[in-house]
Amino acid sequence: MANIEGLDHTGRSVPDVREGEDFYVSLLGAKHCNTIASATEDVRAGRGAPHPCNVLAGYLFVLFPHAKHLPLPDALKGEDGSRIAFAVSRQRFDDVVERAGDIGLSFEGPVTHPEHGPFGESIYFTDPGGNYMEICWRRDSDQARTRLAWEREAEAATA
Amino acid sequence: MESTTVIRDRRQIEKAKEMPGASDALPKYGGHGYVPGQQSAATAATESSVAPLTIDGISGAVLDASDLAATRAFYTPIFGDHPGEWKETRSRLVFQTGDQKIEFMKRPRPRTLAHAGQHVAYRVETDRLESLTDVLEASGHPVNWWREDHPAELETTAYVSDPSGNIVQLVASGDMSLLVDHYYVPVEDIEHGELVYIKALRGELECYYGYRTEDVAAARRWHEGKDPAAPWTRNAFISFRTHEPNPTPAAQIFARFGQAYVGVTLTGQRIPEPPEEFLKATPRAILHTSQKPEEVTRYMATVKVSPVSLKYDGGHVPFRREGRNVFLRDRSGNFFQIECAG
Repeated sequence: MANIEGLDHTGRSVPDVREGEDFYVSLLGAKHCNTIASATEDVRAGRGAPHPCNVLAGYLFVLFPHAKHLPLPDALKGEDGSRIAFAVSRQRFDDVVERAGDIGLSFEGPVTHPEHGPFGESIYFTDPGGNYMEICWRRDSDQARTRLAWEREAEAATA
Repeated sequence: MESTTVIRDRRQIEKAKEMPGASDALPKYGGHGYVPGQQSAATAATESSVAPLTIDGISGAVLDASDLAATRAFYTPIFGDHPGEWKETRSRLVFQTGDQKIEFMKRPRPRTLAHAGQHVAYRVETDRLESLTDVLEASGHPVNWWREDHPAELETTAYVSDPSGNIVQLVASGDMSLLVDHYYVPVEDIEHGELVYIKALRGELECYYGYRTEDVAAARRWHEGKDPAAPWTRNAFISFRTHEPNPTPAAQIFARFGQAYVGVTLTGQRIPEPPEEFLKATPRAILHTSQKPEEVTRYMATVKVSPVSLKYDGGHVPFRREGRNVFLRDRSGNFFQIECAG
């Protein structure tokens, strides 16, 4: 068994990494960590074009330029359900929807989920690279399987 | 504004006593004068009241030359479309045209940064470019036809090295109001470079290159020999992962100052730097401002360009004032002179 300890990072490709980073920063509040291949030593190691690393709620993702031109999807929601979803508090969800409108983001929703389920509402959209994304609020946020919840369980198990 | 009390421990206070106070005339520290314990309150108080820097344009360049006579003979036909005047002393040669001047300092070993692509671009009349390159070739100066990545440089044009090894780019133009079209520098950190040229010097970020899919695709075409891009705009170092050449576009930004611009490229070459206390060195571009020198120095003392909060480095750009000029450098050892007309 691999005994995975956690999610280390995700790589996402976009047509323009500067526009991509601006999207994550301006809409989702990501924080810039550093940019790989922005210094001579990285260039000499053949590390390719600059790829910025950003952190969002403890989640590290790296943006790369697409290796080749890829058509962007027409749909805002992956037909096969594939997407990365970020959670915000119920209070902030409306602000996020308003913010998305302010920056001219095309999104599907808000979609209201069944009341007996874990999710409250969601909006679905794509990032500049056509990667499917979701922002939601959860009805069970106090019991959510977040990284913090995992850490608490691990601490309790070893206590 | 309320004063801010900065709490420092004994070690920091002792360290501050060893370092010089705020000054723009200290060669060892280059004038950035960062003093732990004093910076925060002073900076906070002045930042909000300091007028921002406004650079009007590029008013020239200062380059090294090993042989002034050969340099004048080389550049005379290049500058032929710009009415101007040559002045020469034993150690210095200057061509003044309109509001721009090119100055050559006699040096036995000229510092050129040609290996990393540093160059000055001069405008020549469009219908004279080809005959000029014929003249240069005939006089023993090989001409390369390359293109670069600024939107105005996508077509190939002529590049030649002067007798001292400075790269010269000839830009065909119908507008002879400027001699220097643009100035191009290599840096070893493009993020810091952008902070210096856009945030500190307040250039307008006109465009960037090397961050897009099409830029990566163009690098591959260059590697296959299908694109005459200038050698400093692409590289193909061996990837540490694949152990194969990785064709890559050089990350570049273009900072506009008035009618001219400064191109900044992330180089794959190592740049030998003069000692850090050197703030007036060559090659350097001369930037022009209508502001007074004291306004510029007041601004430079407060600007910070560190991308992260560093404990012992305030992120200042080292500078020094000499009369009506302010000399500064970026962290890659590119030198600039701000000529203050106010």
